[in-house]
Amino acid sequence: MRNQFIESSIKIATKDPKLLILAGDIGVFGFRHFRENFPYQYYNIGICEQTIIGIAAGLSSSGFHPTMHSITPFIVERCFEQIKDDFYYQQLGGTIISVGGTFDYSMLGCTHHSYSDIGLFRTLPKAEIFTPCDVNEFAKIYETVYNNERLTYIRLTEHSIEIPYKLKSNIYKGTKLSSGGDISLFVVGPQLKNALSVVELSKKKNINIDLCYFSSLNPIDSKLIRESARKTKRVITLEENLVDTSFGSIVSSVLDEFYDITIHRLGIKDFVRDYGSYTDLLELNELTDKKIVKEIEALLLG
Amino acid sequence: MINNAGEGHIPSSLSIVEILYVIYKKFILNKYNINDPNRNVFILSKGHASAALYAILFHFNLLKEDLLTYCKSNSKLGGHPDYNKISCVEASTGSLAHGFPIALGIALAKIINGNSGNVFVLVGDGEVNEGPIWESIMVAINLSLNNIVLIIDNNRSQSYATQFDYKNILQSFGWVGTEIDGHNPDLIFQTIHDLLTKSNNTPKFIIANTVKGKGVSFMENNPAWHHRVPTKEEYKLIMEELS
Repeated sequence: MRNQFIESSIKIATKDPKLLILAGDIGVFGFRHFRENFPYQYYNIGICEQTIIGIAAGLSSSGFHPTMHSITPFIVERCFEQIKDDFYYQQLGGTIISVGGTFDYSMLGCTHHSYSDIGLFRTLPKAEIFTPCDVNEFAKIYETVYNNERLTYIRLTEHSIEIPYKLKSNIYKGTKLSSGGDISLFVVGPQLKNALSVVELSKKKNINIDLCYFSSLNPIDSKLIRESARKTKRVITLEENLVDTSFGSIVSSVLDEFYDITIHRLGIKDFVRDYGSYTDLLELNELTDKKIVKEIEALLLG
Repeated sequence: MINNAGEGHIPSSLSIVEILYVIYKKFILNKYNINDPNRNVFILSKGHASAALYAILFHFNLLKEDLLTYCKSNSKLGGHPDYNKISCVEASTGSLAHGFPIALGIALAKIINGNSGNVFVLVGDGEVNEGPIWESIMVAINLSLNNIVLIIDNNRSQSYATQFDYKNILQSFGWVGTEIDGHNPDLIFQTIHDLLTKSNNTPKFIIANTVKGKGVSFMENNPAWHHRVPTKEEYKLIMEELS
């Protein structure tokens, strides 16, 4: 998805001299063609995330469309006060694109894992949040939002998949990928891969899933969530984020007025102090298709 | 203003009155237009001295609000200046070390667009403790932001914590600048003028040595007054001394 970020940036910069990429000493090699072709539109500010955000805010107030880029914990968590004050408080537009969410840097331990970024952005209610899992999905989002004069957060993944369906053309709307009356499965990000497998495994057990995928976590497509949940009365949310602060909480809020709907939120429950591969860490957090199917069966029995 | 509100940072505001007066009178006011991309820009990074900023803006007719609405509900004049509420405020500051990076962004925008004009940013010596100040000092050099003028209001509010020779340190980073008495308006003007005309190819700085609470004998260098609002009697004494 990083390559798509570079390609989309080149495509946008070709027609818009106001797009500026501000990087924290990351992607320097990847962006070399961009730099050569658009030397006034790429700035490697250095490893100083708080200052990157401040500079971007000054550029935004001067009429540019800054995109700030670095590794998730550093460009979101480390400099969050700058995002809050320099962008949200001042009501300035800008795009923050992070790489290395959740367990993309699985072997590097806690400092390089990130599953709290969504939760942090949710403390800024009008900030937009996207967690695409498909490179074309990302391209559409980025090319739409980069100059929308709002604070937007897009989290890249190293584990992109090809979504075998056509998503809704409106990036803020969720898409129903399969229809079923037994359980609603709402998913964001690369966990869609598990979700698609879960739908097939469940069919074999005669369980029919209403699978809905969301590119945008904020604003959230409440209409689709409510329609599906009212039909099945049983909801599972699935994500690679901290459930208490991220997509699971968003869905719970959307459905909070419905007393007869049961919601199970799957994702990361607490701090993860381990290494290994992306798959190892997902297994540790019970984010495998087989475990998810077990959850579904439990919910149906319960 | 502050007495009426029951809120304010008087000594931090008093230390920068001359600096603000000179910058606005000599460098901002001439043909002032907030929409002119070639304008000189001023950012008060030490945003808690908002009372001084509002007083100067009002004095020069850039602000039409009633100063006695300072810090009141529904006022445009908050305890820290708000970019969205006051048209001539170029950045919402208040949290230290935010104004300086924002100033860098505005300076970079001017360079990319080929616009003229300098970006003046005023930080406090206490504020210089913060990390992004040093990040900005380095980035300004790396990006050749030669249209930046950094002014440090050195009222030694941090003399209890840290004290460094900022002039030598900044020069060692490649900035060009000097240290002066921050309460001498003629000297302030001459120093800025000389820096702007003689040093075209580096970011510039001025260490302005000032007195916190300048002009009121019982406030000067007295930490008890940092965030204190005078009583009625104290207010009388202050106004007597200042006039």
